[in-house]
Amino acid sequence: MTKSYRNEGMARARRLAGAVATLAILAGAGGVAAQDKSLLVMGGQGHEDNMRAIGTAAGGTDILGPFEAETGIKVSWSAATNPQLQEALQRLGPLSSTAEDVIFVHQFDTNARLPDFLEPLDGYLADAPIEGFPHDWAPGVAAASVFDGKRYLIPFRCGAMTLWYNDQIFAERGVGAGPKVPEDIYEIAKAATYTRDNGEQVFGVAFRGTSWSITEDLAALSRAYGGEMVLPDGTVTVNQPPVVEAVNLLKRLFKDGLMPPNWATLDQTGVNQLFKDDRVAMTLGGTNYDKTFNDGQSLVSGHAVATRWPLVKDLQTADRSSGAGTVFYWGLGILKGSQHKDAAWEFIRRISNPQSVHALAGNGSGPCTGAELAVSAEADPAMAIQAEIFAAANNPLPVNENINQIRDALGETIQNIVVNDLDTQAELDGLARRLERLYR
Amino acid sequence: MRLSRPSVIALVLLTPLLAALGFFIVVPAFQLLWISLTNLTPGRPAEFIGLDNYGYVLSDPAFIAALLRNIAFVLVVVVLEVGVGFAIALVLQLRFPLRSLWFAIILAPFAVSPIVAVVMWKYMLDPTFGIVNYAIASLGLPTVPWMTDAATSMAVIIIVAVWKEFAFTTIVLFAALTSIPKELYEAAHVDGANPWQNLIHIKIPLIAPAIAIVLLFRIIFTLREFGIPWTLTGGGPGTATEILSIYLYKQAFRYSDFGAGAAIGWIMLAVTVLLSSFLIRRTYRGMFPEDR
Amino acid sequence: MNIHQLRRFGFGIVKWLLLAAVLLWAAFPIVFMVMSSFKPPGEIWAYPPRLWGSTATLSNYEEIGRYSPTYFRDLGNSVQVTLGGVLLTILTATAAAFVFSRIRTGWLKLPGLLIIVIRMFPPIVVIIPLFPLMSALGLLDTVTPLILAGTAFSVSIATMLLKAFIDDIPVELEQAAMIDGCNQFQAFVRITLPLIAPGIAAVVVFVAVGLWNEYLFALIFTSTEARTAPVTIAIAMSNPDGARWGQLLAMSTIHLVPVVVLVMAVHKQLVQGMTTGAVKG
Repeated sequence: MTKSYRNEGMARARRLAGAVATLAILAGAGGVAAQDKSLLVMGGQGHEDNMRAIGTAAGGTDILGPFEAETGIKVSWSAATNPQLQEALQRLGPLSSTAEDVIFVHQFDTNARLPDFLEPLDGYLADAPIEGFPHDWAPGVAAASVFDGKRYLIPFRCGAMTLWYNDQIFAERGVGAGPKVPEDIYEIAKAATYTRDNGEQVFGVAFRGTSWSITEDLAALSRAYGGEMVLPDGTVTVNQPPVVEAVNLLKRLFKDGLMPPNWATLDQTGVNQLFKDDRVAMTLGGTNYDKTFNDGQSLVSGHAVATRWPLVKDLQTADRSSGAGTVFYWGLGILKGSQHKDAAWEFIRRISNPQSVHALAGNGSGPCTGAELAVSAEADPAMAIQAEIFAAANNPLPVNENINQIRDALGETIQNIVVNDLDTQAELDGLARRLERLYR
Repeated sequence: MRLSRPSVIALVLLTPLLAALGFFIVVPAFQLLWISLTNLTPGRPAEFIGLDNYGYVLSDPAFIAALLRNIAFVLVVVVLEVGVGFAIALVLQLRFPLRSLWFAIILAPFAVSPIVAVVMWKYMLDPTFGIVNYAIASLGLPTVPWMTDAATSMAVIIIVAVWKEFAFTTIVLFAALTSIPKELYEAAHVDGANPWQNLIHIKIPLIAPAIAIVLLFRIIFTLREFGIPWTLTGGGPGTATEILSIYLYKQAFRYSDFGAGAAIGWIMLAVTVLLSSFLIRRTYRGMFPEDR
Repeated sequence: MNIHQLRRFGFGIVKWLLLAAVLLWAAFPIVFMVMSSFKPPGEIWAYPPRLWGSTATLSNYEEIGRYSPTYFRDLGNSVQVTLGGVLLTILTATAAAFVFSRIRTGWLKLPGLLIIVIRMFPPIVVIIPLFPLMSALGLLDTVTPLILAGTAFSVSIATMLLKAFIDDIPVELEQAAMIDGCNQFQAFVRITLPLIAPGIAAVVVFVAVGLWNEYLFALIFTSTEARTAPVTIAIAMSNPDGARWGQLLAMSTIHLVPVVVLVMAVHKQLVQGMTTGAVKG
């Protein structure tokens, strides 16, 4: 958070305390009138840290500081977790007036409800264009937030999910290379699960287990077995053999203690922390995590290696020997109720220009533009993998207006199977029936 | 018709109360009924869809599961609250110096916010580093996985809920115990009764009505529990701790399906009013005794 | 020591052990959390866990501003909601309690029944209709809906408790004052209110605890500006990064201490009020 924002909070608290007697009822209610030159951005804490170059290796570039200095627009951050961001979009979107101006929107929310929540950006783009937009952007990503010919988001933080491993633990446990086929994940995890002399438990692999994030990890695992959970046309295949095998893999990993026992409460931050603390040998992580994992502050700095995602033997061919992983991206939108829409656009425009994109890529925010991706790929092998995955993979799930319910249903069912040890095929059949209704 | 002078005064003095209740509770309750018959979602106009939402909710296995889970949750919590509350009331009946101070301490959990209660218990019940598992391990017993396992995560919610609310049952049952006439014990003493017989033959029968009232009260107020399970587990892992209020919250505020959320709301409301009808009648008679 | 004395002595020990167990159950979680909030950050998850840290430090409290920079503003919002709600509730409920206690008119049974029924209403059912309404009135993310809805859900019980306290004061005292020229309400304010002041204090604390700890309305009706402390604590807790427990314990301690002290201070009247509310109706 910015220092100024904190001071404002304190000052307000003092003012309130002073006015305690009179404040009560209706008078104090309206909140403070927003200041002209300030902007409230609703996003993840990691998003802000990236922009301010907090927690990255020396040499990161703060892009918010200069923006604030040059434009006189003070950027405050309302930090939220991913599920909270999603609920906030739905709750704040329909309002005619909000304190929040800019919101980070996850790919799953790029459905036909966006026009109910966000301001169309075409007018702003015409008046003050973003350099290279949209032709420089990955085409699928740039097209995703266009509804009825209007654009609602500028894609901002793109990445692909692939396999990361800790080569120190691998060397110590005699593991030569990353998994080639999905079964290798189990075998390597088994070899790499052990207790250190000081009593510290090392786990072979960490996946994300919260209901919100299972979708992506399971999509990647299903693709390693050559299948999808739901086909792009909405056909539900979540109870077909590839997904069943993927879920059974998770179940075995959990049951045999090769994953952390608090799997069901681990989301990206938790998994990353375990990885950085040298407590897990493998994980599914963003291709943009080089700066997160190898940042000098993490215990595994210099030992986090990105490699390609595994694929079952039967499907491996001469030109394709690795699984597809998944892609993710965030978009920046302006809330309909924002009271500072011009400033909000200025913010989006400035942080999307090639210089900012380049600086942000250096801080660990995956670029969405082909040009920057090519530049990054030369220095960072993970980015080369990202370029490959972007060419081959699509969304973990096709997106529609029921997406939150779809993801909760999926997450709850997988947790029930893995943690509560229910029958895989029976539960996935039940899930398939629920999903069919939600995709109709 | 001309109102009498006391009637005018009464009307004037009751206006703020009636306005608050009307505007924030009565009218919304009827609006809720209307919303439950539409497909309202924020940002779009609503259409009337009849009883579809009720059909949807009642045929959703997740709703039925949440309902059954909620019933089990309420029963376990309330029975434990009454059990723990009664046991503590019995302990406090033994004469202690500084009794007022002990009461003040026992009342402290009542002051704690559900969220803060969740923080402190989550801290104590951490499966790996928590002090509770440490104590269990020190006694040579197997440790408990608490929040990470389906059955034990429900147990955590129950523990926190009971801890926060047991003071109410303690206090009411203590008052009931104190109101038992001394002569009964004296007579029993003459008959050679021991403390255990006193408990079974005098205390429990005589405070049974108070226990019944407390049970009802706590059932009604536990049925709506939201803050503790929502912040502790969010309904997980899986759906192991998803009770009605969480199911409602998800339908309305995560899936933006206000219609289905409203239908659940009315179902909860109907159940609550049904359960409270006895208490309502009893309170009403207490308030207007001339009706008796 | 004869056998009788020995038994008495043994019974005394058991008795105090039982009391100790009761107090441990009630107070240990609170005391442990408060003490842990002063542990140095590295010792919060020390294993084996310790009751208190090697030194007492305020560093967890200093961390609050770093990770939850709005927390003190949010506490200010909680103060607004609590004071506003208590004020409105007490004014409204005292007037109503006077009516139900002192005026006998047939139609009063209807509002009487209304407050009894409404006391049972679960707050969660009104959030769905109130949300669009508050949005249309532009009141979302302000403390107004928290104060007003909080008041609406407190007035029933407050009225019933206050009525019970007023019923205990003989109406003849007021009639004596009325002879001196006061009207009935003035007499009530001058004579009866001061006599039930301890009861009012208990109702104030009872209502204040509910408003101060309120979570559901705050979660739904606020987002940023008017967020109250419990919501901020819940957000800080849902952050999966385990490193912030020190800050979380410090935030919780700040939130808990004022109400716990208040409740313990008026516990006698509260006990009386709780008993009244449940047993007498």
